[in-house]
Amino acid sequence: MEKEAYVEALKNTLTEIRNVSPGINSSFIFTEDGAVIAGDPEVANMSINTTLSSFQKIAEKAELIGGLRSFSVDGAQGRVYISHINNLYLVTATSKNIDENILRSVTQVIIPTVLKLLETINPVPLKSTQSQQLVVEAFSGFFTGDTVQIDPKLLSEWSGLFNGQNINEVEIKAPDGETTRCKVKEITDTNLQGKGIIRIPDRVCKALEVNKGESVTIKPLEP
Amino acid sequence: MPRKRKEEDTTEDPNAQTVSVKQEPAAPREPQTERDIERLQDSLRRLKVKKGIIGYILRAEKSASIDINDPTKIIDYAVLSSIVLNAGEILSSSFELGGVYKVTLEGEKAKMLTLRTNNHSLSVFMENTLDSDKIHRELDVS
Repeated sequence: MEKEAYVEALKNTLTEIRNVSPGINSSFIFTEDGAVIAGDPEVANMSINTTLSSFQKIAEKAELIGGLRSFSVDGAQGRVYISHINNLYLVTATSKNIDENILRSVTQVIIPTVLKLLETINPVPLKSTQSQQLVVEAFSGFFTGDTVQIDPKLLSEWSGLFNGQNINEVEIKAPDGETTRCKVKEITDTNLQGKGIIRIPDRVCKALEVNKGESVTIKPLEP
Repeated sequence: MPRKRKEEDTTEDPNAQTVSVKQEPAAPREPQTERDIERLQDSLRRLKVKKGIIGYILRAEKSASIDINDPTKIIDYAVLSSIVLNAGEILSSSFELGGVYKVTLEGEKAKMLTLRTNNHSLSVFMENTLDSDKIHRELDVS
């Protein structure tokens, strides 16, 4: 099974679950490194971006309690539940009074079973996806130009996708869909490495209309 | 170095340290709010000695109270609690959940239950052997 078919199968599963489960409003699945695998069309891009950004911050600090297994937010009008399934995370937005049995069935039985079945039919390395969600860190200076900075480990992974060639340019997509291409180099400050951030010059931030702390989607361009 | 609370503390753990932080003199409050906080603090004192409870952080309008078994991890738990509260607000806004009243974070070793009201927020840290819904009922936070 090709990766596209795998993703399509997951997407259809999420849609059908929403159709037959009263109380489930929307859902999507993302990998441990923040790449969205499959999403219910009902989920807005902005919601996905804010979820990933919040999740990253919690995941970093959740080592204190042994790593993140599940996270839920109960509000007056609804609920969001994030659960860890194998190396993926399932986000489910539900109504306030959803039947707990239905939620448990979906998050702990149905989705894990579907994922296991798909992997059994044909294992797909989902982690090796090109696009990556990163959190914006704006910076300025006399010689910054329009070059953005990314974690050296990520650049190295992407380089592996192109037979070891260096990645010199990336495409950046803002939450509102605006895109731009920029030259890219490594983050050299070790304090900023490994934090899932992209350093973007102020004027590029202004052109994309993104601010510090927001998530953007980054894709490497073939060298 | 965190100071022990001056009020009597009946916790069984001799190594536990309680930190009370008063940021500025409290403005006059409605009696009902004061009673709510006092009642909650009594519940927390009883809860704290329960097996499996790691500690709690209680944030009121003008003060915060922290009681964690391992004093070297007070800041770590405070930071986690703050990040989770913030994430809860952001997700609530993004998914239009309305006012957040409960946030639950579960890890492989322990979990955190955070409860919010208009006047205060409470984060309770516990081992996974405990049922967070049961703890929520015992605290009777409204």
